[in-house]
Amino acid sequence: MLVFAVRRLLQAVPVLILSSIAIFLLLRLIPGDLAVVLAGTKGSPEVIAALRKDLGLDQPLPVQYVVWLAHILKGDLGTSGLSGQPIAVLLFRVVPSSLELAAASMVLIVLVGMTTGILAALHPRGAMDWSISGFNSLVIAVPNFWFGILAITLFSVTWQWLPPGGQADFSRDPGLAIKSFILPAITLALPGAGGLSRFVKGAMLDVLSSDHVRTARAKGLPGRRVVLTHALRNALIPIITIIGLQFGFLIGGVVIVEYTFGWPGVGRLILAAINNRDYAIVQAGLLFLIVVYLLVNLTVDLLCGIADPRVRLSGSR
Amino acid sequence: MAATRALSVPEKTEDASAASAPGLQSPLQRAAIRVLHNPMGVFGTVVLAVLGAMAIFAPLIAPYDPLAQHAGSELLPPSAQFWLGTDQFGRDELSRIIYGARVSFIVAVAATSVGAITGVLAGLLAGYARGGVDSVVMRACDVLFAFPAILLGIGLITVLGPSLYSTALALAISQAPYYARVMRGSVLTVRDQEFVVAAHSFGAGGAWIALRHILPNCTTALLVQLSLSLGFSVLAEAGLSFIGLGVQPPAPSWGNMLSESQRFVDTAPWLALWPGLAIALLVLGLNFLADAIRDSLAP
Repeated sequence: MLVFAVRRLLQAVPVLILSSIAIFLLLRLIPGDLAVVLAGTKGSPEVIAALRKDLGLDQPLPVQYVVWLAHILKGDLGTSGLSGQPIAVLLFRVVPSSLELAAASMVLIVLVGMTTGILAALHPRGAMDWSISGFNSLVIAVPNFWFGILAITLFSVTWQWLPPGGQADFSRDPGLAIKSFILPAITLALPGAGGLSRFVKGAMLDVLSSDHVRTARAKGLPGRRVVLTHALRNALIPIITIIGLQFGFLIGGVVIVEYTFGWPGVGRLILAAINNRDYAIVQAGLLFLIVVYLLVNLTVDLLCGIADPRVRLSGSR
Repeated sequence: MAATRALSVPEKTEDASAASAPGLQSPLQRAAIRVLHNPMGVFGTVVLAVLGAMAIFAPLIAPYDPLAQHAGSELLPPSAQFWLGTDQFGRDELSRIIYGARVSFIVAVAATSVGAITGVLAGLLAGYARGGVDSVVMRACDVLFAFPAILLGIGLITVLGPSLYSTALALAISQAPYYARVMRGSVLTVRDQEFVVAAHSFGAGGAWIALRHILPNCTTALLVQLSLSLGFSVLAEAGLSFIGLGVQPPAPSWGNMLSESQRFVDTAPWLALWPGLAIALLVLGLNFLADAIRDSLAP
């Protein structure tokens, strides 16, 4: 297991480095003098000169990259060109909101996706299967932000059951805080839940028709036990992998859902920064989201290794 | 594209199936016949044909200029004069939906074809050359996989500025690695089979074998990926336009129409209805088509 973990970690390093280079180059590709761009509208010549020296802008690109990476590893993500505040402070003020939203959605995805997927696989071609499949096709094809707008129209504007947007403070009004989660979390979860449900159904159908499940049934084991311990357990590896992939879509989707509901998270920070041409924030925000995504994928792979010895014993690709 | 090709096939089938000699029907033709015997395939083909015709013939169909502002007719509900109502500038919603189909199709087709061609060539190269080339291509794919499409779009659009072209480019780049992976896998499975070895022994070159012998064996798998990609591009373009990074107003795109409609959910809720329905219908059609093509592979 240790060998597998180390090998998987070593595989992640080049991807992490290459991704960071891509994000580093992002700012360098913006037309104009980077120091002037980063200093923002209030940048005096002294500030610009200091920035240029600090970022090593008179040095060749590889040196600039190393300087940039060293800053980041020290926790220095630069300063906002608009407000002059450190970006690390701005970013980590909004990170909890995004993570809470993503976590709530992930729980929904797993609960709904697994349950509906298993139910559909147990009664293939029945009424249950048809309605679940129809629901899945719909939530995968319907843009979830459209669902978000319709839900706001119905539940917030017309019936006034739920807040139309924003995140309420839990310490001040716990009830409202939980209510403010409902629509954004469901909106973010819908396409992922549909995708997972489809996949779980496929994986379960494969396993349910295999010999060891037939043997378990022949031994007279109760149906529930066959499904949960004999079938589901073997279908779990590909399912875990897919859950990891869903998280990638979740990270992209979080930006759009935060915009729809005025949710104070990383996505909204990035979009506001694009409008303000505060590029250093865009860069830091994208870097953060991608590092989170890579870490989640790494964790998923390690989990698969723990769950299934075949995964960790199979040689490198 | 797939739709028109699929429609033209059935006449040929009767005598071909009677002869039943393998090779008279290409795998593509067999797949097309099965797709058109599948209700989902028919639904997808019809949706694609209708919305595609709407995009192509927009100037002939649309009752008004999508940018014309009818003073005094702002935020009207659907009526005989304006079938789907009007927006906050008094522009006809129906005409904007019809022209919006153009944007969706242009971005989706451009992004998918550029992404597919790049990915297919990279995958053929990686699978065929193996060794160093293979590692380089596959590592590049890993890095692209690390960027969810929306984030890649945000990054590229930050650099290039928001427009139809940067949206299409971002979506093309994010799709290429899927094609590269599919192609590389297919190449690795067929490259040592007899017909490839035979072609080699006749003195065929690498590029000829790759394009003439290996690529045709992957067409159906590619068609599934193509129609999924189109659906994905439509959704992603709508998403990027919705957050203000895609197609810019006043040009009508379904995504930016939804974005503008958000300000009028209490006064003119129907404005949010039409663009969402249009996106959902198109994506549903494309996904059904993909399912039907996939089913045609494994009946």
